[in-house]
Amino acid sequence: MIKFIILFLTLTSLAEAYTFNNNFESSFKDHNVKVYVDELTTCANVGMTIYELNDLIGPAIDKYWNRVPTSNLRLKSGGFRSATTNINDGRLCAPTDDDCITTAGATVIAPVEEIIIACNTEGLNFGGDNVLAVTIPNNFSGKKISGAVIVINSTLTSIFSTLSKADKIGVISHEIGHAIGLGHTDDSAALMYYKTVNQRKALGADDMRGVSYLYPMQIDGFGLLGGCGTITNARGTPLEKFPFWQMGASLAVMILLSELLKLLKRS
Amino acid sequence: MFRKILLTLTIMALSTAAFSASDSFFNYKAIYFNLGTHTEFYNAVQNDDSGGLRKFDFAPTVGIGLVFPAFENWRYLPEFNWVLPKTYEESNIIVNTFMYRFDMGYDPLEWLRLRIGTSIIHLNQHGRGGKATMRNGNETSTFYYPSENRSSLNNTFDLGVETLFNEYAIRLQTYTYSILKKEQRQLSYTLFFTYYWEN
Repeated sequence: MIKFIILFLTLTSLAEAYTFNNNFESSFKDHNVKVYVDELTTCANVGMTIYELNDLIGPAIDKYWNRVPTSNLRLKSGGFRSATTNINDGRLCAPTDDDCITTAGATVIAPVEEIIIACNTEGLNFGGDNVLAVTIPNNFSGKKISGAVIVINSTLTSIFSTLSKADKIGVISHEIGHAIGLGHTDDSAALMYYKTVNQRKALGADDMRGVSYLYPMQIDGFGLLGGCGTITNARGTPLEKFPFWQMGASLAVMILLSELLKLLKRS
Repeated sequence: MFRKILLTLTIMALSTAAFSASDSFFNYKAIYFNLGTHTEFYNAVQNDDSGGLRKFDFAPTVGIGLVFPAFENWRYLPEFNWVLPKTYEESNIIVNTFMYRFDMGYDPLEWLRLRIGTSIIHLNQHGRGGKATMRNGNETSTFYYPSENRSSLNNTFDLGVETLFNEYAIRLQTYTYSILKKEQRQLSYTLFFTYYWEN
């Protein structure tokens, strides 16, 4: 019996691991983040209107990233937002990528607030027809992300238009993963795998762990308080703290349940 | 507003607990030890690239609990469970799940126990840092592993059914996350083998 228990406990599984875009584990400061479509973007090369593009955002958010109860990140579709400079044909550069910024000159896409999606025809952003989209957080406040741009490959030879609607939703959701701070994983079951898979139905375990690490749920209350804030230290790291609220909520529910049962018994 | 409601509930609970305390409450009837396997987020996690969703996960879990008499066939059943850490790639991330649980148990039959209760589920992730080169479009890029210690805390609403064989038991325990919010509602479960040691 003892041998069985020891064997059982040592059978821990090995899994892949999530990563981040950068070594300072950046995330949005506010865990309520809106995703917008640039109002003057044109997606004609990939056979879409901006309204069709906007319709992909809701499912990309609600089917994936908003379904993780251990994360307090809440994404919302914000509709259309006023035009961003050069977003249709400019170079998308990270703020620290001096080579990209120098090469791009005046065509560099301006920093944005929150998350903006647009179609883009600058081939240098993608490096190939089979690269469906690229995302770069291009606006930081200290080590926190203030804004990120997602550009969909709308070059004349892009294969984005050949994708099914479900795959387009998957691609946009993957890019939103980068926008909120996640990097790739080696696990092909995860949304943050580097390429699209045969069928995407849900996030993988790595995706859920990663978003829970960057945006941990700290004040839950059975889902009622999931929108409350995260307490962070000066570096912006969520603080480890004793779960007073959770203790209180759990204890309250149990004692009230106990008293209710006693009352029912008496009656 | 919600915080005030919760604070009120907490104070009510603590007061009620104080009034409820009796000699019998502190005289536990049995101590029990759990061995099980935990499945997080039933049917909501993709586990292959063909769209398969995870229905069972082998995640060894150990726990300990107490049985307090309540009234008639009812029991107070506080317990603590630990889902043993999963070792991620070269141990760059260590994931622990701790469950601080409190159930009310009802024994309609000598061999059957039904449980209703709540948990605080504490998901702790400890990152050891490091970086990896991975495919990124047609090139490769460097990505970074987590390097800090962070935790998520959730209240869950729990139901369980347990069959008792003398001092042993087998239990299916479920945990519903975000029961008050449909979008994030998820179900996890644990299959337990339990040994009861009568006081």
